[in-house]
Amino acid sequence: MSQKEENQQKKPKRTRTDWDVFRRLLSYITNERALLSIVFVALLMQTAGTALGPALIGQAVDQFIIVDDRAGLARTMMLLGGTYLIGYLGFMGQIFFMNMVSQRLLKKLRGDIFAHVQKLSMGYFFKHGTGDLMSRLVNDTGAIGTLMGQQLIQSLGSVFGLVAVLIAMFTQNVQLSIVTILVIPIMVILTWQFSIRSRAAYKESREALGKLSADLEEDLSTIKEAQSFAVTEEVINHFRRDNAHNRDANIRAAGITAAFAPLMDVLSTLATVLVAGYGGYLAIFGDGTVTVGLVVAFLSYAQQFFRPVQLLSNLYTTMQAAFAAGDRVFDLLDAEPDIVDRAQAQTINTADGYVQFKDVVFGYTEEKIILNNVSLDVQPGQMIAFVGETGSGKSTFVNLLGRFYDINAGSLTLDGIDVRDLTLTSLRQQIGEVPQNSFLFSDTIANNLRYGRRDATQSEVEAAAQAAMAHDFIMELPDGYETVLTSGAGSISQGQRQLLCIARAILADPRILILDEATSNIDTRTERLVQQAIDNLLKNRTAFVIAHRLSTIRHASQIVVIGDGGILEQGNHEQLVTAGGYYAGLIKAQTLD
Amino acid sequence: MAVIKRGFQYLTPYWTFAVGAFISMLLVTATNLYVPQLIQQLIDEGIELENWNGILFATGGLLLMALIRGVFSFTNTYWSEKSSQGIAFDLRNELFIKFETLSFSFHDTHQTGQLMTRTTSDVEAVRNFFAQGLLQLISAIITFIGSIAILLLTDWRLALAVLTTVPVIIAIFFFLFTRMGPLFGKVQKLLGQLNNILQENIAGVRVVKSFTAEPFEAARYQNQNERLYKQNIEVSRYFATGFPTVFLLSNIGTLIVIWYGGNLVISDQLQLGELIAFNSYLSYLLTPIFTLGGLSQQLASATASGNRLFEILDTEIEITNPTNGIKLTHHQPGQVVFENVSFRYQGAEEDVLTNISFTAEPGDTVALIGATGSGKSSIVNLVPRFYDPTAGRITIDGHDVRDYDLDSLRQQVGSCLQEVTLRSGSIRDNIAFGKPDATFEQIVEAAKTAQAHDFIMKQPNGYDTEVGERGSGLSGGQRQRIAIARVMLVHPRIVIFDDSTSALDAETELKLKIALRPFLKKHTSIIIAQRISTVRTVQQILVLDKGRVIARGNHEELLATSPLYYDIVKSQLENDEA
Repeated sequence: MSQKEENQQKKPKRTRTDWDVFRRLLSYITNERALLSIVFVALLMQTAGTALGPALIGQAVDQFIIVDDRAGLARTMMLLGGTYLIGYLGFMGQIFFMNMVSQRLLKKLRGDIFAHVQKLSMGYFFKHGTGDLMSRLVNDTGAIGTLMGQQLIQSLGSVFGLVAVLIAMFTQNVQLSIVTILVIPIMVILTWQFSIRSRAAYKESREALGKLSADLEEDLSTIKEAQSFAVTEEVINHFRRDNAHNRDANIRAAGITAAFAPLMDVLSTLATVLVAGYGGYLAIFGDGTVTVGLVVAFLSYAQQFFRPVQLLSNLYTTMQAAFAAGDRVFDLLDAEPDIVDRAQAQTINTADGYVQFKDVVFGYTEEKIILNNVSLDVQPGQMIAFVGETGSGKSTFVNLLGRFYDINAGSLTLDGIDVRDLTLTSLRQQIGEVPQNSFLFSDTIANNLRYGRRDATQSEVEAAAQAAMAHDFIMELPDGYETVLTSGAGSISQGQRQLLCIARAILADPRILILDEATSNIDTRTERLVQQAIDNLLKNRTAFVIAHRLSTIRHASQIVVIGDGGILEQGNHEQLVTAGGYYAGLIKAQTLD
Repeated sequence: MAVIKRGFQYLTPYWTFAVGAFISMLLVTATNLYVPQLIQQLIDEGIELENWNGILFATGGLLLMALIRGVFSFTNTYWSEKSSQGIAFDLRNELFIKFETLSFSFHDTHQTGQLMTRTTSDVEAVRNFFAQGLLQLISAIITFIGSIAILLLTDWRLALAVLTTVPVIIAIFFFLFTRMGPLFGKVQKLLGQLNNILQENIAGVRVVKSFTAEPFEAARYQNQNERLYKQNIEVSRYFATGFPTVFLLSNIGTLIVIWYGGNLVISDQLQLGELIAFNSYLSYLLTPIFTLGGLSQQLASATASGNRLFEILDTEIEITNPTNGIKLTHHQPGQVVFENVSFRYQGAEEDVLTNISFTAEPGDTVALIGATGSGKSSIVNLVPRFYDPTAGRITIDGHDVRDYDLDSLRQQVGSCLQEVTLRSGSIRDNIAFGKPDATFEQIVEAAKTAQAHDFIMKQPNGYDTEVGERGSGLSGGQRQRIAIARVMLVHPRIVIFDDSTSALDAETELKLKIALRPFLKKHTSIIIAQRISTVRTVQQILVLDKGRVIARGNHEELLATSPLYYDIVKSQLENDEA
């Protein structure tokens, strides 16, 4: 891949505008109409509470305290108490129900993504790594949650508050109102300028942190290597540079933010000063419409006015992050699985296991054809062993059989029916697999064994484990079949994992079996157990084996040597050894020493 | 608290910034406290008395305060960031150096993820405390006490009436923060479990699909998703009742001030401006309480993180470099002798090696064979001092390995491991890992010996092909060959093959064996193997069982004398014979 192509892949072009993303995110909460209207009402109540408060206090000062009216003051104060109470209820309702809305959105979004991921074809997983998909589900939904929750409601509340304060100000005195908002344009320009600068600075600091963590992860996972080559000093020096770069980038970014807040503070104080100066001037020299109480009220408006303005400027950053995240999430949700059931697909119950590849052409990408006009006939009960170098296409046959990929040309049939005419579920139920990496879930052993047959009884589970030579070691574990496996290495050995995978396949009892032999080494005694387990597993089934062990290959009905886009050699052990080709060379290499 | 005290030591190199930030913070707090006084003057001496000069004086004062506050809140933020980033920088370096020098026994019990968390999140938690927490704490306390004092001085009756709400607010906060901590923890745990399901689902997509378990997986995920949702709603119930209540209480404070204070103004016991100022100071009480609530969390997490960090920094390094260690050079013969060596892993109850003795002569190969867990890898790990023996000693050319300079020892003992972790970067960089200054010719030569050259040349950019994270994109066999090339490049005196050809196909393994022959003839080597075919030609084979050497000799001798060896040979013949 050239450098240019690589860059293009890293930065996929956005096909949606921010507005598209936002609308689609909104569509997730619009079916929560009932909840949203409660939130809306609650928000109005909260805004009323905060906006009316200063007005009432101003009124109390002006109309009652100055003219010594105790009864009037009491009435206003009762009113103020009522206002506060309404605000309180509104605040409470707003938080609770908005949280509910956003949590529901997140739940639905997560569920949708997960359900969609289940439908996607293998090609998609091949193209996007685990890390990429994980990050979409975890980080991106997180970023969306931040926006579509309190941030959204706070911003909405800010807008409400802003409008309420504006109304309150303008109905009381237009001149003073205009003086109060004079600094707004300066604030907007400053915010805009700062956001450009700080975005660049934060991007730099994020990248520095990204590099630091990536290098750190790698360094930490190769400590033993570094020690064994005695190069720790170089590694440490390299880390020190990353670390210093991260520190400096952070300090630079902080410098910009540190300047922004005080500037805003000075500007909003300027507004207060203007209100006090101009208001005071009008109160002294004016026609009496501007009273002391009014000036006092405006002083508190000025303060209330600038809080929402600042909140709104924060919103921009969150929105950018959430929209970028939304875009990635919707990319995923819009990815069509390329392998789906055909309209007239039929169900197959128990296959005989007659598999026929005829003139099959296939490549994972269009440029590179792996199988070119390949044909292979497999009778029920036969065992086929695939041999060849890494990357030659050994696993391709089995990938096609389970319709993890579709062939480009030719035909592939099971019991004479094109696999594409079968439902995916019924087709895959015919096929069981023992994966090369011995993948198991972090669950109990019993649940892992039941993975292919959920309703199996305990005795069926144990019978399968026995056939897979796994029962004995399972019983030696502290919790037996209820032992919880932890991901990665640890509790049980690699060989034992392999035995469990075999037991899992035996319990699922498929007609066709795919065995991708593990390459990692297990000691001879466990290996003998594995061999015996495999023999039990293969009994009475059509089997495809991606083979690494000569012992397995030798007993195959057909050995298929793959290379150069097709089948190089085909036949049983004796035939191939006699033919004296690649296979014969392989056998020679392993026995000569 | 001892943790925080120790944390302070990290502040000392940056004390000028820290003190600057502290003074700035004091000035900011002071101006904040002075502002309501100015507003009071504005109202009482300016507007009410219709005194234009009073208004000008007060507004001018307000603007001046804002400017002062602006400058110092900038220096406060900037300097505290500077000092805290410095602390984080030093802490990270110190941790990293510690990780790099801690012995294998430490790394056996600590996962990379854990170490990552220490170096990133934990350092960040400590930094946050020193960047904001500490100063905010002091500022909050000063503001709180200052406001109360001013309130009491302005009018003690009004103050006492208002301050009744404060204990209630504090009590609510206390309740909230003690309740929410565990609830948040639960949310985090549920989220972790949810992500775990997801991670496994994606990693095991092949298994999921081939067992048609998609509906089951979706149900499992949905189930956990629902649990997370419920827990989140539970948390928001506390939020929704707690914070509004606090605001209501503070509003009630305002109500009391205006009502009761209004009456005091009416009966001329209080100035109107004083009343307004009083109200402002009241709002100053709330912020510190909020801050303190948040800080108690921050302090707790900084303390917990600090504890974890210092625990690592205090971990003793078992394998240390001797002072004035002897330099092991390439010109020595390289005879390796094990003398009655016993070894047990830290914290284990049984020895993994008991009384191991053997001699590996220069130019000779010693092969170790035995079941998993019989102690083969433990033996070879003792030579480059990844671990030290519990009893007995290992010598190279007559000197105890513990007397050699550690770096020179490890440079001369090359290990080819079975599980190979490559680093991202080019193949060339990976091969040059142990010898960054190697020439390209040397790299190619090493790759040729390791039978890696051919497949490297087939890569899109040859030696400059980038390998992904942990060598993804290369097969196990290719990674193993790169690992061997890496060791060949360093050209060590003694070389160890720890089952390092397990993923190679038979043909390549044979080619490798032939290519290595000249090297092995001149160097000492210890080889661990599973396959009899690999060790058949070796003169000294040690058969290990449960950490003991139960038989030794060459292939023919062992066939005759060792039932276990015979057993292994027989089983492999059954499996692999052809």
